[in-house]
Amino acid sequence: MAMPLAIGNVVNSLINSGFLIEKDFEVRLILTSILARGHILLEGVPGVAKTSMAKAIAKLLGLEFKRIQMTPDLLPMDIIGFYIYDQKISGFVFKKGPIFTNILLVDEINRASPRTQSALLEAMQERQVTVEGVTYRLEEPFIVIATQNPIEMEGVFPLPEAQLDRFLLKIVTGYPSTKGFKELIKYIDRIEVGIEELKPVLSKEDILKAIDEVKSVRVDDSVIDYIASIVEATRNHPAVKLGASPRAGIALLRVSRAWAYIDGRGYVIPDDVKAVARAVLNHRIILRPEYEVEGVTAEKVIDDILVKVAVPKP
Amino acid sequence: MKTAILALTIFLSTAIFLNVYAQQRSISRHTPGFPYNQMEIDKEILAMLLNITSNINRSIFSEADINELYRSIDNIAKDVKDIDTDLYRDLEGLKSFINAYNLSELEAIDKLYKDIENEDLRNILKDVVSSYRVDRYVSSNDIDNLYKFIVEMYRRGLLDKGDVLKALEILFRISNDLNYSGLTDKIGIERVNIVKEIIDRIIDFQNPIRYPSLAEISIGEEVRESNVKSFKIPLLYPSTPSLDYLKDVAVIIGVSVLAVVIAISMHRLWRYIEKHINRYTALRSMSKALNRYVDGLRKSVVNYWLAIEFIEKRYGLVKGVWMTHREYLDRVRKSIAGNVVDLFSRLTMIYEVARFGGVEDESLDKESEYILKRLGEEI
Repeated sequence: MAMPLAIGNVVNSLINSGFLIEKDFEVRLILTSILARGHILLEGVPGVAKTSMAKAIAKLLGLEFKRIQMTPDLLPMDIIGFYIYDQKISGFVFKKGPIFTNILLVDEINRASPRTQSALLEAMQERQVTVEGVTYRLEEPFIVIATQNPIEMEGVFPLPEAQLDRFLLKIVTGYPSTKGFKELIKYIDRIEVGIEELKPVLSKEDILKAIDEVKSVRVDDSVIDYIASIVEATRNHPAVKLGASPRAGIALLRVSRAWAYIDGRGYVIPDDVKAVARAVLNHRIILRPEYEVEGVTAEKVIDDILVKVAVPKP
Repeated sequence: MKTAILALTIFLSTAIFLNVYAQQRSISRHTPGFPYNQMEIDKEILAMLLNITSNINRSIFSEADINELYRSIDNIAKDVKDIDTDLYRDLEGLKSFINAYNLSELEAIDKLYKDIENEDLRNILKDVVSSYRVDRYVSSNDIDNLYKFIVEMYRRGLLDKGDVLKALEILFRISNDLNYSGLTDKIGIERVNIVKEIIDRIIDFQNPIRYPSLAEISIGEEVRESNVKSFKIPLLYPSTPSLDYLKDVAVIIGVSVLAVVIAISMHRLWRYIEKHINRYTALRSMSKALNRYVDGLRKSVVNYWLAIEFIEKRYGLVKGVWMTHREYLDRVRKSIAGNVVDLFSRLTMIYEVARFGGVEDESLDKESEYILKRLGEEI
């Protein structure tokens, strides 16, 4: 298994470079999501290196990277593309939008209008776009890393639960520790230049091969039982109004596989499931308002479930 | 369990100490620094004592009353024995006096005479007692002279109250028998006075302002005359604090040290026994566990769970149902040190590969068996 080692190199390169301070877990989750062919919703306040993370990973993976800043007046065609009349050929030609890339960073997705959001999310799901009756497949790998600011309340269009479910992971990223923050301030110039100068560790073909290999990671029946128990527990938890869907269970399995692959293993263990459960499930469960008022969060519910559900035995 | 044994040992040591040592009658109950006021004296008993002394007619008290009185005085004597030897001697005299109460005149005189401890006093009384025994004439003058002589000796401090009381009782009985009524009354009154003095001393013994009689340093005569007529300045006895309690403290410290030594020894002994019991129970549970797990399972998987049972029993590190094998390994690493951790780490990795990786390699099973054996030795 040469590939997991190479993927591990991406993680190590980013961690050892010192460009992404205290973002090891997030970087690893993003890579996991890429290998599981899933899109990522990155939630965090402005200025916590969301864009830097996405850019650095794209560069190290040797993938094409584009960024869209969402605004309320942005139209679906601004993302997907549109037909324009070409005088040279006396006909219409398709002008591809920024969605035609490998890693698309959609900044502040909740600022876009619901119509634009829907167009993007459909493209994410289908991995293709249809304009004027012509279907264009998006190039693999195609990963959307959308960011949103959790504290913005005005001028935003929160994503509906059904659309949130399209994201494989929701990664909540926060401020660094005091020590990390001091380090960040000290080396900010070097970090900015460093990210721009990052060289690819893997090629696009390597990534596609790794994506293919992840599918062959062994999952024991007992681990599948364990995943099912966790998902079912979300539906029976007293604080949960709407539990995780079967799609959430599938996502948990896919992400666990990719997590194990990055760890250099050809099999999934319960620890993999536990490690990714928060990121996979936290945007897929809806809490009862009375519990939300008391400060109960989806993360707390998942933690509570993880310390109750029995791991496979023997 | 260890705590329970430790607690039991300390409890037993304390109980033994309390039963064997602290309950001895010879142990003073007096708390250092506090006055001796713990003795309870029944005032009715003292009144009865005064009554039998002043009442010539002996038939008013039954033998049971007299016995009760004797026991009470005897108890008081025991209580004061180690504290006030003078009072103890007085009380011994009082006991002889009570003992003779229901005896005939001759028997009583003989007994009282023999009980007198002061040989000089016995010699003084010898002629009168001998004459009375053989019915020889004893004049009232002889008895009166003898009475005056004894009282004078007592006043000078040459005789103690016990002996004086016995001597006066002898003279009282002889005088009464010979019908010297005036003389009998006089001796009787003096005899009552002596008993009163003893009663006063008993009551005084209870006085909370009383100081222990150790290390007395006289700073003057026993009684000094003051300028105010008929007022006598009592003698003061400044005294150093009693160090008697040091003996008790030494015993308590000794018993405590012994208890601690026994507790430590018992604790070590228990650890030794516990280790062997654990090994034995682990071996027994191994066979049960094998029956429980072995069906359709790899040996390396079975061995891992056996190792967990070993560790749970030996170190009390229970693996929660929600805890993964790696989480449990982390817990073991944080709690135990040494070879056990290294061996268990390796066994956990073998379990992971065999259980979740589906690797079917016999060498894994063999290695797991070897590790389990080593773990058994280490634990």
